[in-house]
Amino acid sequence: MVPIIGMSDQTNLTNFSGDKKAWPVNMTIGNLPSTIRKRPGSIAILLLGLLPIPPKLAKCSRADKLHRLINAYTHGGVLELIFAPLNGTAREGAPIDCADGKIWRRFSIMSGWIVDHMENVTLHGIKSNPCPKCEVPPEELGSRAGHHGGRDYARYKRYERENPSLDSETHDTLTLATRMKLMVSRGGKTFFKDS
Amino acid sequence: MLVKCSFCRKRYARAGAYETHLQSAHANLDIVLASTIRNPPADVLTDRGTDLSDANEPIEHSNSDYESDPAGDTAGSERNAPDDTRRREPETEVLEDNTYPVAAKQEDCRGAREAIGEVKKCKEQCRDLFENPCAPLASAQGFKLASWFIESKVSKTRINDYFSNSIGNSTSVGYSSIYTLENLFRHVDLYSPYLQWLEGHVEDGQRTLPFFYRNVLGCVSCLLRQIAYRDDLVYAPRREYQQSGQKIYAEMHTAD
Repeated sequence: MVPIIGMSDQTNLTNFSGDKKAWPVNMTIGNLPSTIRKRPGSIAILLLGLLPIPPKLAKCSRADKLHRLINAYTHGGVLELIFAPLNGTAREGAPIDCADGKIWRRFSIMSGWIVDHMENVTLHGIKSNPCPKCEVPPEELGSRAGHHGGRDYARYKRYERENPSLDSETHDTLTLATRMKLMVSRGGKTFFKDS
Repeated sequence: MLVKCSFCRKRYARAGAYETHLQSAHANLDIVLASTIRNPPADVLTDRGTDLSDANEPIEHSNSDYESDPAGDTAGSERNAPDDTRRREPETEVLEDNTYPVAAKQEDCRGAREAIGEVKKCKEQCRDLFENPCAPLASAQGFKLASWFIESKVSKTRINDYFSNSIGNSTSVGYSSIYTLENLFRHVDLYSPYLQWLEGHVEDGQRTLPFFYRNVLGCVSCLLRQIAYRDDLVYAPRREYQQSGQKIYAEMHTAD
């Protein structure tokens, strides 16, 4: 098994000539001990891709909302394309040359993604104040009151598909599923396109 | 200036110590030796009881970062150089299929422990790397001259003039023009075929944005194929314990 660890962070290159940015995506594998992975000279972290930088947002809240939605869809599609080769290898395996001189069948599985909070916000399409890992309300962040379940983004997408006109409903006429959707979407802002 | 060993990444300031390390730790380097290093013979394992404190030191002491770890100084590397093959084995227990219920239940993973085949020219590459570190260049003189050409930003025309005017000796350096030199450069990096860049385009409704990416399986192959990592790669889950019996969860492969 080859656990893949991804990492990404948008970085500013220059403020001249239109605020140039880069969005590198790096990866490494969990088969290497962390003492080797973290060493700068070990070349254990490879540059996997450079994501497209979205254009600047317009100075209009409605246009901003549309742009953010398009950007979320765009990056979802790009990441899907980059990691598409893993779809078959996670279950069936793929022959990979190894350092011991033999070809082994390896099962490459995406196991982790190292990002800071704002990158989580961008990649997952959530608001900036809730936790990206669990469904704790923003006002309870930092407290130990209660246990909140983890975020299941596949469930969010299912609710989004089942309730397309959720924004126009009032709270009095909500069904149970819609209430659950509202509960979990308090942190959600945009949702990725169904693949 | 510290020189890093190509096979275990120990660092040496003196050429003599580095050569001694190569002769002792990497003698007759080939794939067979690599397998014996990962699975040392029984007599080596039984000797570990005599220097238990040394064997249980954190691995970071021998594999530490250049900048961050003062314990990984040059003197320490040279002092511990003969024992490096013995210190690599922590107190671990590799899980078998019958003791790891999750792996035993995965039917799709049948045959995962059987090698499919041999990597072509792997032994030759390992041997060439050990016998001729300047490969694919013919000699150290040719390597230095090529490095000087690049670092001095000598133009291609001037490099051709250098050889056509008989200023340099093309037979000793192994190339006679920029054309042959660039052909050699293509074979310097063994792993470049795994890391080809691809270009994609995405439309956001207003414009088409280009982006660049690599094949993720190629990147995985590049990391698994690195000769420098072959003693450190872990392919199976492990249980690691401290001396007191407490389990260690420091790595991804030591998780439950």
